[in-house]
Amino acid sequence: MTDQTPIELEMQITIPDVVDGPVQLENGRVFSVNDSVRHPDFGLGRILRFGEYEQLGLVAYVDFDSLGKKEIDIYFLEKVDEIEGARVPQKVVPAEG
Amino acid sequence: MSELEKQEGDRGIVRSPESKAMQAQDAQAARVAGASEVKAAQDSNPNRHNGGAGGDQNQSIEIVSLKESGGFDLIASRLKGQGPQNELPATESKAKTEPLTVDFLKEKARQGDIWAKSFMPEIEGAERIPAGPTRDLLVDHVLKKAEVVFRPEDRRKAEPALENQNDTGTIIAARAEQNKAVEAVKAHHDWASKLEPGPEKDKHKQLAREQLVQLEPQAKGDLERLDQKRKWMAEQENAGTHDIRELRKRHLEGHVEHWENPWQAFTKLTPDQQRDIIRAFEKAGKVGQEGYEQKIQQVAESVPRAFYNVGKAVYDSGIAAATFVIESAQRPEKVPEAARNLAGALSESIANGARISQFVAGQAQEMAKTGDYSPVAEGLKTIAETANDRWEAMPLEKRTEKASELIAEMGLGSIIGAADRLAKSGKLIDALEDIAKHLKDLTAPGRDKAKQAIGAFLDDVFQPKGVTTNGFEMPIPKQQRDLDDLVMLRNKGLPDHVKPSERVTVKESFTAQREVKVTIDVPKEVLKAAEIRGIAPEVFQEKLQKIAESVKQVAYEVGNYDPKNHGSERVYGTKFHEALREALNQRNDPLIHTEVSYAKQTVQNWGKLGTSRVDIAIGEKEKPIAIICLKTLKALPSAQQERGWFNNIPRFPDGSVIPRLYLKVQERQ
Repeated sequence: MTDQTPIELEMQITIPDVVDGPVQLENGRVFSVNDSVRHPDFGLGRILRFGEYEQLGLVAYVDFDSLGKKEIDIYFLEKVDEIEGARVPQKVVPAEG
Repeated sequence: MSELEKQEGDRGIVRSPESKAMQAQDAQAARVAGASEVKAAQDSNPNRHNGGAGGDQNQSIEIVSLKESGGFDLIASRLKGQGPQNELPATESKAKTEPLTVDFLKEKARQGDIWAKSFMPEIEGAERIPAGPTRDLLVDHVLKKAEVVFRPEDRRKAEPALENQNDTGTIIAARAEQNKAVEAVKAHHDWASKLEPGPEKDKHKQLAREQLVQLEPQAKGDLERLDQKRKWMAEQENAGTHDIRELRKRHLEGHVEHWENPWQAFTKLTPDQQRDIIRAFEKAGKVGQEGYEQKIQQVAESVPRAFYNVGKAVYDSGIAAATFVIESAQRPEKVPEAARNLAGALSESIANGARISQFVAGQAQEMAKTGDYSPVAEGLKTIAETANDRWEAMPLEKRTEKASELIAEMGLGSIIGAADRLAKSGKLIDALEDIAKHLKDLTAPGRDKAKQAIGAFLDDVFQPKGVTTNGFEMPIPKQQRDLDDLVMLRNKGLPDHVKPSERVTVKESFTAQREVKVTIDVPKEVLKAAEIRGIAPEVFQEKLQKIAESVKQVAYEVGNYDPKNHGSERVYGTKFHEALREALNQRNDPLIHTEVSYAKQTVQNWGKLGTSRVDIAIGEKEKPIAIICLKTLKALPSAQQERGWFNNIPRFPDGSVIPRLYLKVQERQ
């Protein structure tokens, strides 16, 4: 840093395309904002928004309470049935690839 | 005919001997005469009551019966006979109560009424449209505007009713008052209105409309007009325009609509209106230069759009003028630079058609009257006087030479006598503004060339002069610029070896838990910067990671850029900045600082005049490793920001400039 060369860099962050819910997956399952979901490692969470990346596809922006907010592959989430109130996880088939 | 009928008929003739005359063509015309024609006829009466003897014209004809005891009984008079309607002549009263019609406006226009004439283009435009709800709506719109002029009283009374027509329920209620059968429809609609919003509610409301039309087919037109009006208003909303009644409240807007050039419109405003616009910029300027950049958007929303550029140009010229005045008094070594800036700002304004001289004259009176001091107006007034004094101090021969050069360089050589008039004028700025009127005849490159010529000319006028030992007036040699100034002349103020094309690569991928992970590949040079400040490269990388995550969080909060929701891109950018600041502050990281102001390489109070405010500083606040400049959408760093980075941000111990990162937030294409 002694050669008086100012360094100017461009840090480009591609933000997700925010998608209005509800969203329906190819397997017919529908997710909406505020849906309760379960992640195998992070536990229960609540969907705040949906986003889409060109490379990664559809993701859900989920609030996992003490673990914070995370962007999760939507096919990796299980929807918790709120009507029965029994926190019964519903099976979701992950997309190919 | 019976005898009785015959007698009645005879009596009728006896009772109404004038009835035949009343059926004549001219009598019919008199009956339907307009208020203006009646007034004209009254005025042509040589015996009319002129009010000279006092009293009222309507009292000039009275039938009285003299009493034996003196005095009289009033048997009949115009006033008595017409009762409460006698406040106005019958025809005028009728004209006041009749609804305003297209025919009325056409007649008025034919009689030469300028207001009525002003509505004719819109009326004619509407009449070219085939009959239908759209045409009715347009005509209705013009008539409402005309009501403001011709029926101000009626307009005020009618206003609530007009508002109510924006509601299907009111249309149904009005019909229900006339037709008892519609009351059931009204009850249905009222019930539907109380339902929760949704398809059920919409279905019942639509059903009520259909029932209304079945019972009252004439209501179909009212409903269609309502729909059309709603559609039209929605289109106006989408187009970023506003209800005409809203515009009327903003009286400044009206002028802009009728003038081609905002500068012309600006000069037509009253001095206090001009002051209001400049005041908005003055207020924004108080928070400092970087703050000004952000606050300026609020100014754009607080002044009429057409006056934004004009106001900003006047403000910029005024600030340049005030700076010149202050530097002349306090720091002579800075005068050449201030003169250059002033010449640049003034030439920009003048070439765009500004009438700075008129503005100054108006504001001088306003300030004398109100005592309300404006630094912008005062600065411009002083430099206009300075320019005049310096111009007049030159020998006429020299003025002629300089004026001729200017006219030639501006490409206006064909304007006969322009140079001569400029040379002889005692008011330099006025004369330049007059010459600038001819710039509209030039092409865009020609205007740019002319603007540069005016700038060079004014620079020559404002630059300080000295007298040589042998008596010649010479410009004082310009101060040698320091290295920073020199390198800033290229590439928006950056040295050639700055490489803005270098990138910090950011990639998204899924972790094993299918969480989106952001990987940031930071160039080694930047990591070295962290080491210089005694911070491990990994720590620096982690800070960047946190910032990237916060950007994502804000993206979800703020959403995609949508003009309907966010307004301009600039407003979206401001919102994004604020949300990111909050998100980062919540992280409470001791090595991430937001909105830090620096001047001369030290931390300053936020927003202090002359400071450079950075969006994010990483590292210790007093000794940052790098600064980050957030840019949303197509935003680019300004030259002013470049200079601020170069001059004001704390450098490394060896004097080198710390790295800067543009954090470019890119929406998915």
